[in-house]
Amino acid sequence: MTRRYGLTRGDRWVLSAALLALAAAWAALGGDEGGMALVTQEGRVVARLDLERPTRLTVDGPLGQTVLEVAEGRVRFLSSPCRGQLCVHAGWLSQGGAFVACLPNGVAVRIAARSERYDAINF
Amino acid sequence: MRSISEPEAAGVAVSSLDRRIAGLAALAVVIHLAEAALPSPLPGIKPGLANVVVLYALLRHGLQVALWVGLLRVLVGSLLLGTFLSPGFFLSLSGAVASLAVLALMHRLPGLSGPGLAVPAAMAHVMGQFLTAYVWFIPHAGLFHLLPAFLTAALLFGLAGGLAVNRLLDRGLAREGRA
Repeated sequence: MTRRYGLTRGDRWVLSAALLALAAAWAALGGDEGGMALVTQEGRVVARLDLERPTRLTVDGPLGQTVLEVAEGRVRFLSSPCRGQLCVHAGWLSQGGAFVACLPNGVAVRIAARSERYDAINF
Repeated sequence: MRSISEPEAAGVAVSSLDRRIAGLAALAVVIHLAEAALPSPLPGIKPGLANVVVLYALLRHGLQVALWVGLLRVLVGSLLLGTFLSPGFFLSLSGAVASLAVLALMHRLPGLSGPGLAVPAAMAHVMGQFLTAYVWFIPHAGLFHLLPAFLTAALLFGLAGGLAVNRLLDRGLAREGRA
């Protein structure tokens, strides 16, 4: 087998295929898979939001009203009566499995993922 | 006169194939241990130098030796690091099994040398690990956001490792030619 730069002709074919697969993997990364957002208030499901339909939702909690906004396939906490505002600063959610909660007002938003068993196992 | 090894003294026949496998596996284990001590910018991304030994074993001595070396490396490496049967061990094992499977399928293809085998094997290694991690440890689609970065590293390290194997084999053949 003759080799140029240490690679045979076959190696170059395999390498090209690997580069293509790699480009596809990076390209697939950009695609969102979201779809549905599940809104809960103190553990009870209060709404299922279709992320493709822009809307605003007001959820009542012990502190007052939390406002959620859906736009462009994403969802965020627009405003919250809580002190920390962590939920608002979490910004937009779009990826499947993403989760934000406002504990003071008991409101949580999670984007539906294909499988929901547990987060992770560690030892 | 050749000295008699312990297994032989105990009445176990030791073939030259056993010696070859033991020598290469020991080399792979030492490299495996040294690599485990190296810090990495992204946990889990490693050069996989031990797999250079596996590929060398495959191209020089055939599939059987490569399978032994590859699996012994995982087993003995985990015993020495204290990770036997831990999550890390199963990730390591699934990576090794996936890459050995790819090597077993591809090494009969004509026209491939080190890099042409090492790159697919390294990428299979990463994908085998991700599959195990997803099915077992982190059943969350977000895991796959790490996949492209790991595959990129696999491609680069696989290429480097494959070229290194080519060098090793060329040198070995040159030395035999001179002898």
